[in-house]
Amino acid sequence: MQIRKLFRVLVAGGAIIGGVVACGGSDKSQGQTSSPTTGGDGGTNPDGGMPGGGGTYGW
Amino acid sequence: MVKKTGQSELSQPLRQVVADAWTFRFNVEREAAIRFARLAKRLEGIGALPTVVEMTVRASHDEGRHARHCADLARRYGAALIPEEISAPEIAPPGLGDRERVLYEVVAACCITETESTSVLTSLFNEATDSRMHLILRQLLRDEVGHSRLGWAHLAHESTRGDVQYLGRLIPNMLEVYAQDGLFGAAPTELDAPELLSHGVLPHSMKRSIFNMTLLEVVFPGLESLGVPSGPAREWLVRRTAPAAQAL
Repeated sequence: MQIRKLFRVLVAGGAIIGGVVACGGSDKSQGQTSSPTTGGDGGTNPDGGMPGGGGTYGW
Repeated sequence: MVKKTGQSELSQPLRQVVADAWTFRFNVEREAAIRFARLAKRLEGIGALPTVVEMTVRASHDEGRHARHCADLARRYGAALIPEEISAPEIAPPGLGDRERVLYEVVAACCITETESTSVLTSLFNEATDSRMHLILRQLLRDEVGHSRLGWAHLAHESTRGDVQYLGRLIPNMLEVYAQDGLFGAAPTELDAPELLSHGVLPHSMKRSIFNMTLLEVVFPGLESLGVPSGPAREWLVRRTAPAAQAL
């Protein structure tokens, strides 16, 4: 399974379970930037006063 | 070609690298089992799709089984494997409501971590030459696909119930653990040895490359397609992959 195929298998497959058809793929979103409602600070100093939060380790 | 081989061709330092990697995964899988068990209850409590709740319960059981596989492999490479106390605390930042806290954790654990794990396992599966390793990786890969999907399913469902744009600026917080784990820094020579690949361990530079490609080809487009802006996360990745950052 190639990485490019994972969008279809994981995202589109999951979205269908969730009742949504996910459009796009590897050639969509390239070069897209933050929407006007999001900060461009990478989450380190969000406008909404919600700093912190973490992630989970994987393989 | 899949064949039945041992691990005797590895030098002792590389054998230790492989043992450490499977020990790390043993703990990762144990933590994931606890997290999914908790998330299943939380998801049910917020009225998530029953299918997603069922998938999350199943994921918890899967991860327990994965931990046993990882333990077997760690011991096979000489790890003593003394189980440590494991916990899986909530990871959402303060200030979010109940529904948003659950969504944050599901996106971090499934849409990002399980998607990345699926990508890693795909690469490892394609390179495995040991018959037992091949069999284990196939089982793990099949399960991780389901774990990733449950996250995208929940995000998709939540995107139909309300605005999920707020997650955009929080995605870098979810990704930061990978930087803290040294993914973007220089690694000792033995961690980049190509011999590791056939023992179920990605060489460091390959791991970083697959991580970046999976973000760019799968995770970021997936988030965008479901209403979560990926701009802050893309900026985070640019910063983290800049030469100055890698030298740190």
